[in-house]
Amino acid sequence: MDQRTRHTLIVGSREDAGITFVKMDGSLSATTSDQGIQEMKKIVDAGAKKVVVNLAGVDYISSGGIRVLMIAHKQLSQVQGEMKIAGAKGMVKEALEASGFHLLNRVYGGNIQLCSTDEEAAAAFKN
Amino acid sequence: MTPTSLGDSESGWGFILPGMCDPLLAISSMLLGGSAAYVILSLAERMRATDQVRLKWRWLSIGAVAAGLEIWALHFIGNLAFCPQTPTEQDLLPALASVLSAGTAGAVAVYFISSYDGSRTRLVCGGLLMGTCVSMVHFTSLLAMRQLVDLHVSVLALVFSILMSVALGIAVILLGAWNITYGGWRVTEKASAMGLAISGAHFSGMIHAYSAPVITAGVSPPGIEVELLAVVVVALSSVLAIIDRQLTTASSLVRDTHARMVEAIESVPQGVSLFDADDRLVICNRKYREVVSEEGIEVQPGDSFESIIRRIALRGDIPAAIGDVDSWVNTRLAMHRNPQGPYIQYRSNGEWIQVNEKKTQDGGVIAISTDITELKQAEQAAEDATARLADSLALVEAAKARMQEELNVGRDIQRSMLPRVFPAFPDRKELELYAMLEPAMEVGGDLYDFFMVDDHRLCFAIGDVSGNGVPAALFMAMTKIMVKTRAMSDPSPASIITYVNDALSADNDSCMFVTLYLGLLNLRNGTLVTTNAGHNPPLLKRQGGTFEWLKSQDGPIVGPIPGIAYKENMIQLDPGDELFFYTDGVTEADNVRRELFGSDRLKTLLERSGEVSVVDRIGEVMKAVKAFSHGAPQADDITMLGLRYHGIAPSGVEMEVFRQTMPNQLTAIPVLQTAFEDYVAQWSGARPLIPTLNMALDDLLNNVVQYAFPNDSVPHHIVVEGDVRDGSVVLTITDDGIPFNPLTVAAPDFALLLHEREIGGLGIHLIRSMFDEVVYRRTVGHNVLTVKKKLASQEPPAPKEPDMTGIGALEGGRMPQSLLQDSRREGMSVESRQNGAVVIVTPLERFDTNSAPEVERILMDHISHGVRQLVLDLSRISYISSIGVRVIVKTLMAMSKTGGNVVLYGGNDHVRTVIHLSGALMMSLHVPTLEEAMTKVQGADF
Repeated sequence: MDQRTRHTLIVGSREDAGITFVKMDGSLSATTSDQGIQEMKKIVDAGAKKVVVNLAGVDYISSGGIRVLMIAHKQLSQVQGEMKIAGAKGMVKEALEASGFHLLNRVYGGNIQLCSTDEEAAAAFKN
Repeated sequence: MTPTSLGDSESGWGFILPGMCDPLLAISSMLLGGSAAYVILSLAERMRATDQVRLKWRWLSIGAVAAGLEIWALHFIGNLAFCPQTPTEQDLLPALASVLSAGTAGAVAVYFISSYDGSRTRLVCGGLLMGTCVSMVHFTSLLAMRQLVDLHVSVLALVFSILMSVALGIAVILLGAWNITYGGWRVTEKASAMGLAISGAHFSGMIHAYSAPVITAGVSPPGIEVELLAVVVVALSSVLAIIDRQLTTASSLVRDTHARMVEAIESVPQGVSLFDADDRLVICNRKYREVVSEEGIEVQPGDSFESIIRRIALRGDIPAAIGDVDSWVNTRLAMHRNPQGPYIQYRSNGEWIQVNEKKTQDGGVIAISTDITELKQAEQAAEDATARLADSLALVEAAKARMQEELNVGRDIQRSMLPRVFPAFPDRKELELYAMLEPAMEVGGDLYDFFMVDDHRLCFAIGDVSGNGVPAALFMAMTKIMVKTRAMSDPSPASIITYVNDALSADNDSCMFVTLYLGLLNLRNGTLVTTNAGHNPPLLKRQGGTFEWLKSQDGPIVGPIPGIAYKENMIQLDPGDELFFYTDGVTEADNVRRELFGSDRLKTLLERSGEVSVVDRIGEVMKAVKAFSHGAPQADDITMLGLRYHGIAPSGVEMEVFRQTMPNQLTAIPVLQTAFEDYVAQWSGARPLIPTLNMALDDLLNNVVQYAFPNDSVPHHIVVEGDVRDGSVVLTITDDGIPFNPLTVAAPDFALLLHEREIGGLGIHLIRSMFDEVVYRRTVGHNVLTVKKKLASQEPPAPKEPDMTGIGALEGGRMPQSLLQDSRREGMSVESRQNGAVVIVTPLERFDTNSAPEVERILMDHISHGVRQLVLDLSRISYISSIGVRVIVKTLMAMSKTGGNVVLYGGNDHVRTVIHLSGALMMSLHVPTLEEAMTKVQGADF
């Protein structure tokens, strides 16, 4: 693993047909969680309602990183938004599943959801 | 040439003959006089100008030699001019003496002229000395001339001559001094004037020598040599004058340089001083003078360094010297003589002087004193600032240390919250348990816990709070306390976590969360109920098997989202089974190459560790993780918990705990009751409670079946658990029906009872009245109702309530045989017989859910057939539940509409207690015996 990526997180976003696609690269760890929270807050504050967070470029996630997603989701739900997580793989997927993310679907009726690709995630939005 | 007498002792100076004078020689002599005067003036001037003793000496000696030679030559030529006819042979000694005298005269002239300060004494002394010397010159030079004639010297003339010489000397010095000090004339002009004066003086002064000339004719003078000599001497003098002129120019150059130097050092802001090799001040600038001088005592060139510094030390300028001036002066002198580097001096007036001293080539010392007070003050300010900074730094350090201390306290508190004494339960042979937590920071976010909920149920938990540090530690502490508090009264892990999640998610804006794995292990039968809330899956190793993941997930992470219902799983542990729990600090430990330890490595490692104790297993994993990290800093807390179930120790009691499941069918109740009876009957002390327990089972299970599964065709299971211990019987009924809390049903209003409506809540009322504890809990998806009753003591139990009816104690089943006529069994659970108009109905064995419909049917049948006097015999039943009571109530209501009577009689302790608890009306209908019942039912007191 590249030494650099464990301590860096790059967040990029683009909008397409009312859906904000957020792409994260690097590592979602305790080191980068504050940055991640800020970046996600900016995106939500900018008015995004439907957010797809693509984690294909993330190779490590810790509990601090999961918190980034939790907080983003909480902020989104306050404005009746929805969040999908796409592209998680390897240990990131395992960690998210172990944390019970896929179970949250039942509680939130798909407001937060693990999907495999951006397209699947975009299609998963209710309207 | 005219012969002249050199003197006449007889005639004195009355015989003065005008001498014959060789004009050339006379002029030469006069020129020499001017030349001598010039030399004297010039040198005196130079001597005065220089400050250096050595130079003074040089000029003085040069003056002595040059002026001396010229003075002597002046006399010599002068003598020749006067007595050219005399032989020029000279005696060597007097000639030398005359030369020396001339030199001394020159030196005296130069010295006194150069150092003339207006003092009369010095002037007179100088004049005397000079006059003496000049007289000596005259006298000895004459003496040196070997004359063919006797030299007669007039004493008077001699004295006069000496006096004249003295006067001349004084005049010369005065003139010279005046010349140097005030004269605007050039040196040559001054010299001409002085030379004229000297020559003039000689002319008059020499008169005495020629006053009595004895002319000895016939002696021819040496002739040409004299003229030649005069020319040579004059030429020499001229050359001397030219050289002197050059010297003067050079020295004026030096003087200019010196002046420029003075100007330069005066313009320097620092104090500059130059000392010679003898430590005498050579030159200094005004600044230096200001510093070292004082009122009345100006520092002067020539002052010794020691005297200067002693003076300033004595007047108290040097704080360091106060009290011991000598030693300071000595130290300072040593430093001055061998300067090493800048020397900083503090003055009493608050000034700081930095002295730079340097040896000059000629062994002197040049010193530059710089006032560095401002620099020093700035330095001092900087030092103060540094000191203040150091103070602040110390404060920060102290604060840091205090914070560290507090963190340490926090860590201690946090650690002390975790059970750390192992073996945890030394007297529990059925369990082996070990746990460890290796924190990554001072206070961490991991947690583990284990404790006995009661004497046979172990609760354990492992968890990981997001992040670390103080917030994580606080969250962890909250979690741990909530779990433990809840677990003490809640037997369901899912329920505990659901509750904890709701509590933690309130006001959790920062979305802190904890992953939790919670287990409740019944040590008596190995039943393990677990809930995994977003935690890493643990591994289970069955006896003789391998470690396998327990992948179940029962809900998401705990804390951020309220309102989540967690599930739970049941695992049956067999003796020898082992569980391994951990936090992600283990699997996500990384090494310097940023590789993760990973779950595969963990599983392999556990496999390889073979059959070892739980403690050793955890130790091995810890060792492997450390070896893997290989010095990389530990990023996260590492926590592990291991557990091995050894099974219960064999004991004489076959079945310690009752646990049975029944379908949600009313008909299943008797089977369960029978099984439970068998279980309870193991304890003789518990046997008397069997009727009451049966009643409770009947009432509670009836409730569950009827109310918990409305419109639900899916079969459900109801779990009944019983436990006889600690002098109590505990009965727990768990169902997965809709939430239904029977305890919220209001107690029946006994004033209205039996007339107005069907009774509700009577069953619960009975149970509450007859048991010591009745608890309802809704856990996740389950209703849990627990009742507890203390075993009766050895003494016969006192009636629960005062017997208001006078029924008294009655042995159950006692019945006069005479009355048992026409008895017929009408069904499985009831008999009826007729005694006149009175019908006696006797429920058999039980009067509960399953028998009640039949009893009710028969009773209603009798009423519909016109029976108006009905006796209900309760003496043959072992117990009655509220369902039975309800049948009685219905009968009463039906009979009251027809105007008939119903009387109850008999029954064991339990039955009578139930009747008593069913209200005053019910009690009033109950009598102890059949006879009384017969009387009462036919009597008119209705």
